[in-house]
Amino acid sequence: MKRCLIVDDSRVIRKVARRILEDMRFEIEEAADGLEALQACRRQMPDAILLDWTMPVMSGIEFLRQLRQEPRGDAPTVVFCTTENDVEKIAEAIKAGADEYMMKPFDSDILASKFAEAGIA
Amino acid sequence: MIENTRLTALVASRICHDMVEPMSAIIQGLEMIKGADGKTDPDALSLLDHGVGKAWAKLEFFRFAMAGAVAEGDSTIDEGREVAIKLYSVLKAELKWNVPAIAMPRPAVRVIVNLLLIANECLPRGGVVEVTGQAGEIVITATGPRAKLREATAAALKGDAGDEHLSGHTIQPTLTGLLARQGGVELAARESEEKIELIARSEAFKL
Repeated sequence: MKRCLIVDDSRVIRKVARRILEDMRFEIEEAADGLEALQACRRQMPDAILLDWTMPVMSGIEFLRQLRQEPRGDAPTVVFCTTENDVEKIAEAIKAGADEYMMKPFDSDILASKFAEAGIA
Repeated sequence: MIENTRLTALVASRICHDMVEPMSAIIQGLEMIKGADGKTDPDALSLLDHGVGKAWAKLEFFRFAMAGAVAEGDSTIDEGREVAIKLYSVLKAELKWNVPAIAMPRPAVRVIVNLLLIANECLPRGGVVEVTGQAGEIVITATGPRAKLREATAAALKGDAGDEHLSGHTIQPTLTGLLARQGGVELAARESEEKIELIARSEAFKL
């Protein structure tokens, strides 16, 4: 079973994403900010990461930049979530190492298709 | 000076950001109900309940704090209490309201309500936000683990953020600072370990 780390400061978004991804047969771990996510990755590198952009303590982009410097940090497929269709921000995330991006809010069809496009579903 | 079109875009961006979580809960709650063959799923109802409650609270907050229709006239800080209580019923931090009904112009009440949202954002791991005050001064104290007033937020409140640092995240403190300056309210912040104090001062705050 593939493992997915859900990184979002909203407990509700984590719960929603967990439900969808468990239906897609992922084993789930959660983190409430970039720092918690980095610690989780150092314990065990996931196969996929669903990553929020704006979070307290450590933002999504800071986490992503640090993750890609970690040993085996290039392995997880990262889908980052944003509430804005700001092309510069999307480009910044892709440059930092994101594999795919997705607008919030999302439903199960959107999440499944994004994971399929990223090659991890 | 920020252009009107940019200001509008950033305010809209902030509102979209804050409505995403409740909308996600409603979307997922409805998906679960549709897929449950007519059975009532308590988790689906819980998601719907959360989504609707949070959307309603945020809507009332944005209407009071940012929309123009209720911007003028005299009021008391109690006008902001109801909006604040509803807002905090769906936020991580707990609100303690320990302030008498201080009279102030309505734009100043909007400043206080905006500061309350900023106070919550100083508490990434939750905590307590307490409102205290007296004639001439209202103090909003945010206490909790990893309490921090972001540099960008502090600069935005002062009006020092710089156009290039304006974003959906800093637009609400930027507007708060603008409202304060327009209404003759002086803002200050004090930071100590796990505690942030946001202070609003004005001679127009009267017991």
